[in-house]
This record gives sequence, C-alpha cells and structure tokens, in this order.
Amino acid sequence: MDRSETRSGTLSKRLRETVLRNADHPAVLLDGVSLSYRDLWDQSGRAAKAMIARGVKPGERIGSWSPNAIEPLIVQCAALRLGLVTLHLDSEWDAEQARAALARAEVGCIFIRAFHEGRQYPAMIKSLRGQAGCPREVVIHGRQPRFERVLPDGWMEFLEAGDQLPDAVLDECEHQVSTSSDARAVIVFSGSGVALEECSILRAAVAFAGGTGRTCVDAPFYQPAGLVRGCLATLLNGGTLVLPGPATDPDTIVDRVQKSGCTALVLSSKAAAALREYLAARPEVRTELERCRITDNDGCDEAGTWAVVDPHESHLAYRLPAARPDAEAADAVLSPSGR
Amino acid sequence: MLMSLPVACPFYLGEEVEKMQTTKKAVEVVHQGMPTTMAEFWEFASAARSSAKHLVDKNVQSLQYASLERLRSVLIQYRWFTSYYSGDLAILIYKLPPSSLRSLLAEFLHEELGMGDPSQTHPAMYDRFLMDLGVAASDLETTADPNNIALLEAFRHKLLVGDYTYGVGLRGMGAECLCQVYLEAVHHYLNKNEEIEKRRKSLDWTFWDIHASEADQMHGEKTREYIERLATPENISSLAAGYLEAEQMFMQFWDNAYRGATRDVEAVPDRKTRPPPVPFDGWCYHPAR
Repeated sequence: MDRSETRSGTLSKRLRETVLRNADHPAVLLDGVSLSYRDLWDQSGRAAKAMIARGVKPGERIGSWSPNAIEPLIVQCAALRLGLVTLHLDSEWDAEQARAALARAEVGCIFIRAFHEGRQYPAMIKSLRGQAGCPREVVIHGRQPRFERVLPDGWMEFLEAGDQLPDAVLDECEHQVSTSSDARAVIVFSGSGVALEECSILRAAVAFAGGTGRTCVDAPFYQPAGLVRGCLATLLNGGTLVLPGPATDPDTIVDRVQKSGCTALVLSSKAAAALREYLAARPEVRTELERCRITDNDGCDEAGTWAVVDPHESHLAYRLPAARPDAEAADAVLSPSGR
Repeated sequence: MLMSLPVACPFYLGEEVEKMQTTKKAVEVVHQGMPTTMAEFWEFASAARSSAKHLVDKNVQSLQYASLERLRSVLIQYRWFTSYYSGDLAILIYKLPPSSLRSLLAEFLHEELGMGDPSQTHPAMYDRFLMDLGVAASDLETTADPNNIALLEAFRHKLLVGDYTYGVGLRGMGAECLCQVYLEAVHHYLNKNEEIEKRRKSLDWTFWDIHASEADQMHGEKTREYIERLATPENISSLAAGYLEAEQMFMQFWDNAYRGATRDVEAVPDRKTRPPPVPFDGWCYHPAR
C-alpha cells in the first residue's frame, strides 16, 4: 500500500471519491429502501454538522450502541469525515458492561437504538446517570415514528440542529482532519478490544475483492467483520451493502442471498457455523451459492487475520494477511487518561 | 369517595368481594388523610407509585429465575388486564366532559386498538409475545383466573357507577401511570431470565417496546398534565380514591396471577404449525370485552 494512504483523512477522501464516482449507485439496501452514495454522503454530512453543533471536535470519542441499522452506519461515516474515535458497544451487553467500556474510553456523546429484541437502550443509559462513564450527550434512533417528534433526544431533532450550521463549518473541519496528524479516525470494537486506524481499515478494504458487488452483511457492526470487512470495505470499493433484518437462520440467509443477488456474505461466527452445517446437508444449495464469497468473524482477532469461508473449501485456505492492530495503540485509544 | 360493589354483577365475585370489602376498610382509613390540593395529590400518588414499585420488585424478581412453564402461566393472566383495559378506557371517555384529557385518552384508545389494524391492538401484541413464549392458542382463552375476571368486572362496574374523576383515578391514570411502573419491573426481570435469553430473537417484543419504554413514560407525563387542567379542589379526593383503589386492585390482580401459576402447562406447539396470531376476525372475544 502506498505510504501516503496512511495519512489522516485518507479514509474520508477515499469515501468522497467513491461517492463522486458512484453518486447514483445504491450504497445501502435495507428493508426495501435504497440509499444511494449521494444520499449516504448527504446524510453523513448532516450528521457530521449535527455533531459539530453538539460540540464534538476532531479527535474526540463517540459511542454507538445499536444493532445493525442505517443510523449507526451514517454516524460511522460522519465520524470518519470528522476524524473521530468511534467506540462500538456490543448490542447484547447490559448497562454495567456498557458503563465500564464507556468510562474507560471517556465517551462524550453516544448514539443508541430505542429498542431491540426486548432491550431498552435509553432506559439502560438512564440507569447510568450520575455514574462515571455516563455520556453527557445521548441521541436515540429507531423510535416508532409517532414518538420521534414528541420525545427528546431524537434522531430527527439531532439532524435538524446540524442543518442550522453552514456547510463551510463542515468543510473547515474536514480540511483540518486532512492536514492534522492528531485527528485520525479510529474504530474501536470494545468487545474484543480491537482498535483499527485508517491504515488498517483501508488495508481491509483493499484486500476484500468482493467489495464491488452486493455484500450482504449479517455480522454485527460491533465486530470488525461486520463494520470493516462488511460495510466499510464495500462502501470504499463502490459496492452495495445489503443489510438484512435480524433473522439469522440459514433458510432466511440463503433466501436473501438468492433474492438480492449478493456476491459476498459477511456473517457472524454463529450464523456462519449454522450455515456451514446447513450447506453440508444440501449440496444443491451449495452449488447455487458457488459464486457468493462467504466471510465470518473467525480469525478477525487481535492478530488481525481474516478468515474467508467458502462453501466448497476449508476456510483456513482463505486466511488472508491483513492489518495488524497495535495492542498498545489500542489501549491508548481505549483509555486516554491511562486508567 | 368510595363506590359500592356491584349489586347485580353478572359474574360471581366470591372471594374477591370479601377481599375488596376488607380493602374498602383500609381505603376508608386512608381517606381521612386524603389530599385536598393537586400538590398533595401528586405527593400521594407518587408515594403510592413508589410503594407499588417496591412491592412489585419483591413479587416480580422471582420472574428472573422462573421456569418457562411458570413464566407462561404468570404472564398469561395479564392478557386479560390488557383486554379489559380498552373497553374500560372507552367507558371513561364516554363519561368525561369535553377536555384535553378526554382527547388524550381517545388517542390512547386509538393506539390500544391498533389504529385501525386489528393485528396491532395491544392485546394482540401481547398475545403474540405469549405465543412466541410457547403458550398454546387454545390456552389463551381458557386459562383466565376467575378471581381476576371477577376483579376486572368489579373494576368495570365501579367505573360505570362512579363519577368521572373517580374513573380517571381508577382507569385513566391508574393504568397509564401504575401499569407502566409495574411493567418496567416485569420487563427488567424478564430480561434477566435465562429462558427468555434463549428465545430472545424469536420473541415478538412489540408490546414491551411500547409499554416498558420511554414512550409510555411520556403517556404518563401527559396524562398528569391534563388531569391538572380538569381537577378542582372538590374532586381531588375522588381522584385520589380511584387511584388508591386502582393500585390495590392492580396488586391483587398480580398476586392472583402469581398464586395461580404453580400448575403445569401443556407442551408447546411447534412454531411453524401454530395457528395464526389472535385477534383476527372471528376471534372468540369474551362478551365483556
């Protein structure tokens, strides 16, 4: 990889270039709704301005606690543009686990889902009030539409606050990120303790050959496979991201891959194991999925290796070298005060 | 003001009547210290509410460790409470004078009844949760605790014969404010239960997403604001009596649910072969609903 590609702001620049090349190409498909690259860029710009309006500055830390959805992706793109450190929390964590991670990373602003599978994230954040680790700013997305306008801290309210700022403010911030060495975009996966800097994310994107087609991402965003290999690699390569709903049974996955014409599938370890078992018993389906590259989270650990699972061969044969996150750097990002 | 028990109630109240007569004495004692201003009333309600929460925690925490069978048999009772609630709300709306509160409660009723979609009524949402938990469709209509049905009938009768401020305390805010506290606690412990954890992804959580969330808290706050507009010094004690009674009856309802939950529950039907979720057209509604 060219050394110049490791400079701060490179990711943002590359994303911008992809948007210019593919403005009307679908970037994300979710629940029958299509978001083009231009839409994604505009939405992430609004979110970035809204973060600036809330006092977030380049180099600062934000959190995301949510199942896979469009909003955390927009937040992540905005964070790349502003050179922020984004901490992704496991959506299955309880309040105490989240508090410990938030306190360690000193997150000032967090983006949370209203609810998912019986979990009430606002109530869990509320229970942290007065404790170390409770973020000062909370933005809630995914509410039922009729409550979006009447309850505080909503996603629409957040975006509209950013609309008050002129575009020049965002341009200035993005320029600052591209010329400063302090404001590097970093993604931290608090569950595994992995922190990936721009260089690592770009390497993952370059290594992912399936990125130009349609990639169905079932792996959660709080795992490196879901967000980096699945989402960012696809978006940086100009591909289309297909975000399925929560169901992860093999029948549904195969059906979705077939219907959406996906050329790549990024699964959680659990879903991949279930699919492997399913395919072993159904050779006819294996043939149908022949052209689909299947990746899971196995091997995407601190050593930075990626495992690619093909229905026909052992996934070990596809183990690719990738970025090796620096454990010390990860610790410094996770615990800025050295605690 | 305390309403008398129904004289010619079509349902056998039996044990519940005796309990409520005992309750009546307790309420009368409390009435001596009934609030006379809204400030006093909110203090009174908040005390009742936090007391309810404390009691709830003691009762509900067992749900954290409950077996699947016990969870089903406890939770199935609440479907009757949700089923009666929309009818009671309609009666209350009928009794209320034109006011912000009446319009607000009508809005709640619209939501309760699925905003035009019968599959989205709150009882239907709750039934879907129960069925995903493994409650057989045939059990939904047949496992009601008769004491609880009697209690709900008594609720309704009191609502019909009482004045509207009493009704607001009994069903207008008793349900919106009191239930929310209780359901939050139930939801809290359900989330810690291993059996629930195993089934988390396959459960329909919509009912809980509404009733244990910030949205329902907002309902409670709005209800409070509009009650303030309607209340006068003359009717505050009636409001308080309704609220106090709602709390006692509500706790009694759950006590009954826990007491009757020791029985065995039949095997769970396979998810793929189970009948369609209720209610649908032709669903066997209890005549009282």
